[in-house]
Amino acid sequence: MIKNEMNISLVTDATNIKGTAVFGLLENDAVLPYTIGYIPWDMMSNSGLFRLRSGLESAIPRDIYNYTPDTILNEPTRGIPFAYSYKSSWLVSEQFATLHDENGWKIPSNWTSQNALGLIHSYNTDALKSSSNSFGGTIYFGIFTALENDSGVVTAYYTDTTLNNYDYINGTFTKDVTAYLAQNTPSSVTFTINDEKLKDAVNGIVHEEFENISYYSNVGTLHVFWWIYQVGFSQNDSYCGGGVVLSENYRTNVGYRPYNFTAIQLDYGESKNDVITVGYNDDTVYKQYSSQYMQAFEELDDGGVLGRYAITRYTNILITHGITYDDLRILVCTASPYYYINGAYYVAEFTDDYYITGNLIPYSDAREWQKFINPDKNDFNPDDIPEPTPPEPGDDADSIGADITGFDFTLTPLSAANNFTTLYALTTGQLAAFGRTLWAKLWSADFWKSVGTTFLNDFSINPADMMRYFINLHYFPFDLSVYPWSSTDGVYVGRAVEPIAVETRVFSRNLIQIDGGVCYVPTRYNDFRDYEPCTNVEVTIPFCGNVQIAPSECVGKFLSLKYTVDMQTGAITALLSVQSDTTYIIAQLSGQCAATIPITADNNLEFVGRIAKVTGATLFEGIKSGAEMFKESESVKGSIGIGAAVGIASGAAAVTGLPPVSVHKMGDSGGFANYGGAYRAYITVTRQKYSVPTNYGHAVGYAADFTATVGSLSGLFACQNVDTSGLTCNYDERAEIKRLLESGCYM
Amino acid sequence: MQVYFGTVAADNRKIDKRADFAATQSGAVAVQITDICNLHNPTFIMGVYYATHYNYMYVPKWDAYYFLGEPTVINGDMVEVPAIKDVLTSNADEIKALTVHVVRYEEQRDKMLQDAALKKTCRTQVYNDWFSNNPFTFGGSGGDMHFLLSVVGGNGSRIDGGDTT
Repeated sequence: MIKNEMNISLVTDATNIKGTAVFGLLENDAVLPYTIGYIPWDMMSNSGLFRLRSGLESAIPRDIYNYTPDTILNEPTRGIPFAYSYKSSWLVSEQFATLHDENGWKIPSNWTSQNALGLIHSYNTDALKSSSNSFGGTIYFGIFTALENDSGVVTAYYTDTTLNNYDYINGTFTKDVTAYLAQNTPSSVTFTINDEKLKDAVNGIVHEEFENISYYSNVGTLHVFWWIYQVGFSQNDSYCGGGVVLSENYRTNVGYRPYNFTAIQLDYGESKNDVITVGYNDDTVYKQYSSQYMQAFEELDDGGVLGRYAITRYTNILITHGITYDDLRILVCTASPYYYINGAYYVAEFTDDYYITGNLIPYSDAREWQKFINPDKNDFNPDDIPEPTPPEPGDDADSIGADITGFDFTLTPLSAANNFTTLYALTTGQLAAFGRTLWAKLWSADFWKSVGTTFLNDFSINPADMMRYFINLHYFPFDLSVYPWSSTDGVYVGRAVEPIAVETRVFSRNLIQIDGGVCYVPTRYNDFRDYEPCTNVEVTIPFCGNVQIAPSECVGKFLSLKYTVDMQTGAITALLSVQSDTTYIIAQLSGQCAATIPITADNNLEFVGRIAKVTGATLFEGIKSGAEMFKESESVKGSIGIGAAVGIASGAAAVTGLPPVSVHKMGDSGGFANYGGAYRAYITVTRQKYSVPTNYGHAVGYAADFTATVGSLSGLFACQNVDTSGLTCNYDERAEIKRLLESGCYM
Repeated sequence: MQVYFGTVAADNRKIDKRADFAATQSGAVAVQITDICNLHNPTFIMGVYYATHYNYMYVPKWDAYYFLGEPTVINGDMVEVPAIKDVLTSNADEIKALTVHVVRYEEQRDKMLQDAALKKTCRTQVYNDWFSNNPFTFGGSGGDMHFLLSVVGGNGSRIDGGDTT
């Protein structure tokens, strides 16, 4: 389990030295009975960012890197990252303290607090990546960290790092990636990321990126557990005194150490595609073994060894496919005695079957990756039986979720064109322009004159009447631009001839269908325990809630999810079906996916109440009463325009078949609170664990239900209601034989 | 009375122990029964050697197999041994011919049968997985359209007509 909730603070001095620190713990009691902590820092001239709580320094092995803990912790000017591996519980997260006054540590007066950045989570920022121009000039590096503050907002931070002539590094830790990206004009750093990728990265979904990386670091693509990676290069120096010492610059060193020290040092040079391959079983990849790069090891309880390795320039260290969580234990970092640039820390344990290779960006299957980085989410226990890999429903990817037999989900599009209501789709910019234009129009005498003369001759010129023609303004959590529209037009209100001149799309569908994809419900035991009452399957559907599905209906099958959205109201209906030989709908849920954006303070309650009255509904009578009261308290009385609008709207409802009661379902409560839940459907399978002794079959016997002659059986058996016909023995013996056969005998 | 002794290691509940018995079977030995006894649990008088070296016997005259019980010394080398008839082996051929309804079996033939005898722990295992599509991307920047304005009337309702597509 990754202990990943460490409060960190960012503290800088008042001049130009800024830094970052990340702490990560890997604790896996089942496989790796130790705790490992890393406290890298970079570019810190005065102090590190973390220190141990008082009294705990003695817990740190002092012989690591030949530094005493105090030296390491309090004299970070040497900037040597250190790594410890501990016996379990030697050092736990609670024993680290951030540099806050309340922890008894005084921040130097010339330092400026950058405020607490929040919690480091296991968010993977692999999708973030820096790039640079070709080597020989300036190289830009990126340091990325995903942080979550107390409000749950995740922000990815990065650091610009500029290397000049390989000998100096200046970094800042000031930019917010999201804000930076919004500028869309990166000046010195190019990010191959967008909001979606960032979001996916936060969710642990790695986008595949293959680029012709040339002379810039992409160590940032390392799959790391603890969310920060930097790269740098090493300076020729031997000061380190036990740390990683590089006698040559600009080489890439990668090593691992399953049972003996092995290191690969890439050839010196500036070739574009340095390939780093480390293989455990393949002797041919054991190259240039040198222990001098491998001085920082510590024997672990389980006999394993952690290694610290150096990555220098041109690093393309990447982890390939096939490495699973419990196999990983390699530590890779960049080290330099004087000019420290922390490297990527990666811990993995290699088995005979796995190796790492360079120059290949190893994005694994998103689903597997999700499990990989969030093992605790899946109650990860290496002793458990691995989840079987779900089969894909057909070789044709397009068939997933679409190749349904027995149930035709084809939705007949319902046109929005009805002359009573019109839907206009807008971008954020168009919405802003619409708002500006609308308010300008509202106070334009000419416009109202036009409206008044074309709608009704005696139309009362009142902006409030105008606003009543707006039924609602919704924010939808998906892009509407991919759906059909009939024309590009301004917004026409009522029967006005003159539109509110903003370019919009006239949305031409009242109902749209969205494919929510499929999800495989795996078996685990392949026996009755995969089903009720031992297993519970629940599907969480965004905006619609949760639904429990009988395991007998879905285990070992694909669930398919389809949404239908009412574009007038934002109501969403989710149809959950089971894909098997005969696909069938298993659940239908409804909810509200759109958020209402209030555009008028007009009396919407009255509007709704009148609709309810027209349609005969009683649900809104109470609301209507309130509306009437509200109306009475207003100085402005309803005009004929209100009645006309209501009539039109209810008529529109009748035409489109829409439930008018949901027109204002979200009301003016904001509606965005509805987005607080999960916005991607997922399944939760909860299985009861059973204890099954190894001799269960021989001692207790498995449940059975078949008929046979006793002579055909083998081993333990127990019968029910034995018919003793055929036995020629006496009464007592028959009774005894019957009792024995029913209680259990061996054949 | 002539009997045969043997040593059977099989579980008492084994239906047919004759093969086990034959492997260790002694030669014919003369024993006596004590007074009046029933055939289900008779008491035999025999040499102490047989009572201490064997645990099973076959009585040809009765065509029955017996488990030997704890011996009681009578005098010298003679002991009195209670025996219990092994109704399973004594009727093995008939029992093996019985057709029965098996409800528990050493081999798991049908994994989908509920097994109430299996011990349930207090632990659970939780598995999560996403659906493959993530249609709700939110956002709203750039050219993405996320806003929908619903208006009474529209182009087609203009007094001079209009496009009603």
